[in-house]
Amino acid sequence: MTPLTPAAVSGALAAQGIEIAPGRAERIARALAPLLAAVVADAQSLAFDLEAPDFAAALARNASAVR
Amino acid sequence: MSALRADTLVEYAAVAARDPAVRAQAVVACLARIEQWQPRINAFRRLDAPEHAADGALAGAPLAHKDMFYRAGRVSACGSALRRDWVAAETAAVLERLDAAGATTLGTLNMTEFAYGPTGQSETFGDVRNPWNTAFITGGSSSGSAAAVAARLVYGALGSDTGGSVRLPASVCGVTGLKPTWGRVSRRGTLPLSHSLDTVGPIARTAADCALLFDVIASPDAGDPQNSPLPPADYPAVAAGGVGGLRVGWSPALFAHCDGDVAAPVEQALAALRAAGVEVVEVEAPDIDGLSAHCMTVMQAEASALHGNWMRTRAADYESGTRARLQAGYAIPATVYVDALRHRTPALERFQARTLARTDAFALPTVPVRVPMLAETLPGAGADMARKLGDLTRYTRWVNYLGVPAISVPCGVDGRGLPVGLQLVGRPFAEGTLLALAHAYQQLTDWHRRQPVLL
Repeated sequence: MTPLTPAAVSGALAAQGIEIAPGRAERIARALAPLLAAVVADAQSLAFDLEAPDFAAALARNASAVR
Repeated sequence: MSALRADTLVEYAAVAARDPAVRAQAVVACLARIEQWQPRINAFRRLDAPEHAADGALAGAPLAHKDMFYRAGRVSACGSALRRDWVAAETAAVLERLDAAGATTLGTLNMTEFAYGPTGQSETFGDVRNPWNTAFITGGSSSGSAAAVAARLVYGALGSDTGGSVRLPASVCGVTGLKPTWGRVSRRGTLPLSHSLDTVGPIARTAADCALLFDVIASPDAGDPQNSPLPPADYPAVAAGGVGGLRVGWSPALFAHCDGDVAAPVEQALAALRAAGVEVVEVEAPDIDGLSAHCMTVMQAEASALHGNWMRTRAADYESGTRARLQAGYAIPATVYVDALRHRTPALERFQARTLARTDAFALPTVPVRVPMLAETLPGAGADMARKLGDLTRYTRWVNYLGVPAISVPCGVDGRGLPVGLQLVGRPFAEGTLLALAHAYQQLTDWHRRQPVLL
């Protein structure tokens, strides 16, 4: 996976009306690179039908018998 | 409070049940300690006139809470200049329950701006200082809560935990903090940070104290759509019910990554658990760093969305650290955020199947590094600061991503005399098991009894 470029960071923030100081985009790109890579790597194992709201049910399903 | 001969909330409740006059004496004693300690540690944001104590499980118990639990008609600044004068229109569900149990709320406690940061600093309202040594951080974001409980200014306090904000300051200040299962405690009327991760939990001197507070606040609430309908346990009874047959897992690899003077006390705590009758076994560690990365993705995306309007119009009114954290969230692609959420269910099931397959809880240090000095974590403290801040929550964030409960109990001190915490992580809704393990540990040790000295 190619990390976000500073230009992509600047563009994403500008599109949402968020202003940042010069040089900040580079730091954000560096900080986000391992986070995004981790998600993309783990997403390869996700079942197609798995939806995010399933999590609350998963907690209940895995609830300890002893509280 | 020493005049009351009640150092813990449980002891106070027993004394107050026999003699109602103790209620007023406890308030006076706490106010006297606040007058002594506040200039040194800045735990309180505001003192409120104590209201008449009602009967109940917490009758008259002096408490105070992080300044993010709303009370109708009163200001909840949430640690920010943006809400310096904001008056809440509703009262938080947790405060309603503590009120109904008879607790006396002495005021609100300082916190990290919008509960978004790990150190306890506040450019707006002043840094909260560690009662054990004011040159060191308290940990955050529930900084005032942990400092106030450690200094014996109140018997207990509520905090919030989105990436470690109950457990981290509890560990660093030498008190006990419980992060519940996501959805166990109502968040109605509390400041949100990241709705997929936010939890509300008690900070107190002991596990038994936490059980008493948790028993009051942990019940279903139709007013919070993410609150679990599962019935709660009788937590004080479960906590006192013993640990026979319980097993705790640990992974030496995670201890090897800690500062040596942090790992050693936690390993000694495992020995104490064995002495209490708990079987302690080696297990496969979860992928803490991978899970933490997912936690950060979710937290940053949700927090930044929440703060979007102010970040577009009043960005300069945020503290520098908060603003920097929020800026990063706008660059996270929506699909990455959703995939991080989708991965939670298999990650939880893997944790259950591998790490907790043969055990009831997983033990590790709450904070893997020794407590940093305040000066080491201030903006501009150097190139190493970002890593230091990340280290503070490295062993707590993954727990929020999995949604499971965890407790931090004091178990020693590091090489500079600052507290070290043992963290126990359990199955969903197994808060009672964690409280029982922590209570059993505290029956054999006295770290929770040690108090900072006012110099």
